[in-house]
Amino acid sequence: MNRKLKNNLFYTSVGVAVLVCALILFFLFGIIIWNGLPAISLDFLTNSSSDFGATGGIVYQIFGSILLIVFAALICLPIALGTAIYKSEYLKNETANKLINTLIYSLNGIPSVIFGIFGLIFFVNLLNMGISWFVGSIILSMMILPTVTLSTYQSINSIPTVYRESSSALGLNKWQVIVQVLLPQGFSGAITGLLIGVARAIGETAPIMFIATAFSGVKLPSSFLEPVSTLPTHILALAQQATNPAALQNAWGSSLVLVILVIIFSISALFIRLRHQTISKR
Amino acid sequence: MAEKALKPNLSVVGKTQNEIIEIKKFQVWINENHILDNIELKIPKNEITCIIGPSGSGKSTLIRSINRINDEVSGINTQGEICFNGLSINEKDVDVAQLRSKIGMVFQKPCIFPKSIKENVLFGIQHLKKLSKLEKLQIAEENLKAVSLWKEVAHRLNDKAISLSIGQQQRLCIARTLAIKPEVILLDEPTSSLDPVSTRAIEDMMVKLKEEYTIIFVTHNIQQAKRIADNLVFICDGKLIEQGSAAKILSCPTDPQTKAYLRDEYCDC
Repeated sequence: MNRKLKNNLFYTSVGVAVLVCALILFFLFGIIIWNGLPAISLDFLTNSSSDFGATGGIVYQIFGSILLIVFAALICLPIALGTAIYKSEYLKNETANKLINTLIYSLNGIPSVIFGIFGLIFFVNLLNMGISWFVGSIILSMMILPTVTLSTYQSINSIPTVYRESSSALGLNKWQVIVQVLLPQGFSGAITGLLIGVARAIGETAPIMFIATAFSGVKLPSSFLEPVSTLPTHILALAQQATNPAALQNAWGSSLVLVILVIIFSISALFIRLRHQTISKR
Repeated sequence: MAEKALKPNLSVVGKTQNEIIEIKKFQVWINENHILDNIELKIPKNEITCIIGPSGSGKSTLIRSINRINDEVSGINTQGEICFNGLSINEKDVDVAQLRSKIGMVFQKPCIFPKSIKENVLFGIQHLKKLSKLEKLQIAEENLKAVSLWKEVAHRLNDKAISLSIGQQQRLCIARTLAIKPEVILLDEPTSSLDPVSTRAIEDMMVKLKEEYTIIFVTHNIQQAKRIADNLVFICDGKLIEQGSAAKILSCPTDPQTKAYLRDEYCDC
């Protein structure tokens, strides 16, 4: 086989791989849009559900999902920033750094249902917090912590050493260098990681179904220790009534809204990353 | 605590000595690799001391040790003593940030923060003390004038500093260092990436600045050392080979290694 043929074969193979990937994505989106679009209306987006979700809208499910991930992000961000800064700026021991990396990657690999079980045993039963959206946010923050930490770490670590040295040489303390130089430049990485993490977390069902949500009859929570209804658990509940065409229709509509939310977070992350790269190149 | 201990010594002892920096039996190594070996050196006040030597000889390591910026390099070890105004800077309780505000440094490539020209000049000083709006403007003007950049940027102080040419950026870095009012300025090959015109502008500026500051200048360029140096230090393979007045060393070096290095350099030219 000559080099040109090998080159063409390789080019075709990777092209086919991309095509398969794109086809799967478009097929999934196509089905969700095709089935979900008829359910979408202003009433569907602004009304509460009734009849165990088979009829009515999904306003409280949208609110519940957003509430969970907003608080998850708020809990996760300072911890991720702290870990990333410590790893990048203070931890000089290579072995300890590798150990922390292994722990972070291990945390990322834990199945989401395990997080749910942990939340149930530790927060709900042991700490007696009951089923509450706040516990759900804590668990989701634990789930997205590795993604946000690694993204922030990579962002801070990629800042050229000369910035650290130039600011130190001007008499800035270590914390001033971190706050004035590293964080402003590394923050986009943290936000990108956060949005990617949130995009993943908003679609999770397993970790929150035992600890944070009720499947029906829930409206706005009046305290930290009340359950909410979320889009993933609502879709799960409706899927169990698949013989009811109205419930199935609402399930498709809810799925489409969830996918749109995920796409919004993913595109925002991409936008922030591209914007930061453009600024860095200037 | 260290700051309190350092300040009185800096001012009191400094006024009584001609040498602002004294390096005694100083060694630097990383793992088993010796970078500097038994360096003994005195840097006189308000003069330009040029450190010359082949690549990898330890010139940069030496000046990076003077403001302890090398502390950030993992695995680096030092032995011996560097005294600034008579006070050892290698003690553990020395306030390194304060030391660096007294011994400023300009690096080989200009490092511009993603801020405006004015904010770049003020970047160090505004973290050291509170400044009013008027003071900020005065400091920016004074230091940009000191590096002959004021006329070029006066009308666009709020423009992004990255829009300046590389030569202008390097002068901006020097202005930023001057703004913190150091006593010593360390320059690590600051003209190596500049064109001859920008290089000459920085050299002329150094000659003017030595009236107020002590300047330690690392360079590869013998001609440059000839133009600006009052004192010359030749380092080779981590060892200090020869030091003294620039005129004397450049005209009749005593050590054969210095002779050979200067001869080769001239040949290259």
